[in-house]
Amino acid sequence: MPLTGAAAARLYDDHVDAVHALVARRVGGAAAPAITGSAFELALRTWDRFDTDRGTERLFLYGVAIKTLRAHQDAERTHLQSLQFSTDALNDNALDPLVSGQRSAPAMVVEHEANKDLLGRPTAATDHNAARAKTPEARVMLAVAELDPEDRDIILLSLWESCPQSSIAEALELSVSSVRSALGRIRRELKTAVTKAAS
Amino acid sequence: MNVFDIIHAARPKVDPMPLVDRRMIREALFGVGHDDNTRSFGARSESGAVVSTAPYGTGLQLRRDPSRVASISKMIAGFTAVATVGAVAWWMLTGGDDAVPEAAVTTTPATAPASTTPPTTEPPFVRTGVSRSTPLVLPASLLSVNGASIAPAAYGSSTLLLTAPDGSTMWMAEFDGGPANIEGLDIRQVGAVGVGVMESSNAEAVTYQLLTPCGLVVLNDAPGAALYRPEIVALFESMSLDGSATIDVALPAGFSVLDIGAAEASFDAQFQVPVFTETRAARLVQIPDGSISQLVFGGRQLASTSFLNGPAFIDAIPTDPTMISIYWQDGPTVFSASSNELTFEDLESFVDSLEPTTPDGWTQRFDTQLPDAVAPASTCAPQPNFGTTLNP
Repeated sequence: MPLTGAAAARLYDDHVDAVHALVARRVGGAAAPAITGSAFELALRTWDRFDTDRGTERLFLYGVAIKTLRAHQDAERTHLQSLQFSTDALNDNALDPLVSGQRSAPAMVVEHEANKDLLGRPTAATDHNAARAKTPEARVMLAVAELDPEDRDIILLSLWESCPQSSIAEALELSVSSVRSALGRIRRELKTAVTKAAS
Repeated sequence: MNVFDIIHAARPKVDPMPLVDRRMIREALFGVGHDDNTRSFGARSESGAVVSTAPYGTGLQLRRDPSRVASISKMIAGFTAVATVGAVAWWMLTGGDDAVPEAAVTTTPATAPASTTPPTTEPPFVRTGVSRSTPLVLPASLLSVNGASIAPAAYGSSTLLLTAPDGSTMWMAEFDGGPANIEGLDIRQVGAVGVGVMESSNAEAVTYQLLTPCGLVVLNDAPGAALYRPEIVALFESMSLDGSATIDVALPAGFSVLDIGAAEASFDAQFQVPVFTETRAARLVQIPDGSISQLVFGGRQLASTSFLNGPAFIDAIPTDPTMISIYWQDGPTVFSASSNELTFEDLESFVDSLEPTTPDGWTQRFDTQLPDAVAPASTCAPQPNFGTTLNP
C-alpha cells in the first residue's frame, strides 16, 4: 500500500532535506529538487517495502533516492568529474571507513610531468578530462565517476553521508559483509585506476 | 592521503533545498496545505515572491491513482508557475494557515471582473470550440486522470506580463492583503516609487517588491538579469503610485504589455493520454476569462509559436529541459498544456481531441465543486491595483 495523508507529509517534512542533500552532492543543486521529488514519489508508492523492524525511514529513503539517481548517471558522472576541492586541510584528519580511528597514509600518487611525451597527445574528446586529471584529486574523482554504480553508491554513502557499513547495507539491501568486502575492493580498484592514470 | 581521504575531501557542501522547490514538491505530492509550516510571512521572505506553487485554499485532489503518481513527479519541475495562482493571495488574505478554508462550497466565485483582452496579442483564435456558454474543454473519451482540481480566484489580484526591450519577459502581480511587510527588504527610492529586493530562493531571478500601503506588489525579472539593470530602473522610474494605491506605468521605449488580467478560477487536470500502446501524462490548465499572465504565475520566458495553426506561446526556458509548456487563448478562455512525456505534435493531437463543456460538466466529470474566492480578512486600505495605463 502506498503511504498517504498526514503520515506521508510527515515523512517528507522529516527527511526531505537529508535526501535532497544526498542527491545534490551526487548530481549538483540544479537537478536535485526534481530528482528528490521523484524519489519521494517512488518511496511513497513503494512504502510497503519498508520494514520498520529492519531499518530506519532515512535509510529506506536513501535507498530509494539512490535507485532514482540510477536514471541520472550521466549527470552524476559529469558532476563528480567537475568537482573542485582541496585536500590541503585534511592531511591530519584522514578517514578510512575500513580502519576505524586510524589515520591514513600520505597520498601515494604523484604526477609524472616528465612522462607526458611518452603518453602521446590526447584526442580532442579526452582533452578536457585529461587536462583536469593532472592532479591526484581529479584522477580519484574521475575514477569514482567511472565506478560501477553500486560501488559508487557504497563508497559515497560511506564517505559523503557518513553511513556505517550496517546502514549502507540496509539502504542498498546488501549484507554487511558484502559492504565491507566491497569497500576493500573499491579502495584497491580506485588506487589501481588512479595510479594507472598517473603513469 | 589515500583515495578514501581524497573522496571525503571532495564531499560537496550543498545548500539547503530552496523553499520554493520544497513546497512545490510537497504540494505536488500531497496537495495544498497539510499544515505546511513554510506558509508564513517569514518563510516567504526567504523564498521570494512566489510563496507557493499551487492555488490557495481548497484545490481538490480527485481520483488520485497511486499507481500513476510517478507521472506527476516528472512534471514537477515544469509546473512551478502554472499551479500557483492564489497561493500568495491566500496567504496574504488569511495571514497564515489558521484561516485556510476547510471545504469547497458550490457557488459562483466572487471574483474581480474579467480580465481585459491582452493588448498586444492576436484576436482570439478558436481551436477547441470553447465559447462563453461552454468555456472549458474535456477529452471526448474517458481518459485516466491523475488528479483534478479547481482553484478559486485570488481575491482582488491581477497579474501582468511585460516584454522588455531585450525581448525578455517580466512578470508583475498585485495582491490584496494586510499592511505591507517590508521586513528584511533593502529599500531604494526609484523615481516615484519605493522598491525593495526580495531575497530570492532561486538566485537566478530577482524579485522586486513595490512598496504599497497594503497587500503585495511584486515584479519578477527575467532569469539571469542583473540586479537593478537599466531596463528595470527605467521601468520603475516610469511608474507612479497614487493615493488609491493605483499603479500606472508610462511604459519606457521598447517595453510592451504582453498580457494582463484579473485572477480567475482555474481548472486543472492531469490526464493519461494514450499514445500507441501506452499512456503518457499531460496537464491541462484552463482559466475562463483568465490571462496568460495568470497561467505563467511567477513568470516564464515566452516565445511565440504556432499551435494547432493558431498563435500561442511556448516556455522558452523550461525548468525541466524535457518539459513542453504551451499557452494560448481560445475564445474567452486561456489554456496551458504541458508534458514532459509527449512531443509537441502529441500535445497538439491531444488538444485537438478536446471538446467544449460547461463548468458543470467539468465538475460532474470529476465529482468536485467550484470553491468560493475568499475575501481578505484585513481592513487595510487602499489595496493595490493596476491603473488604466496598464489595464484600459
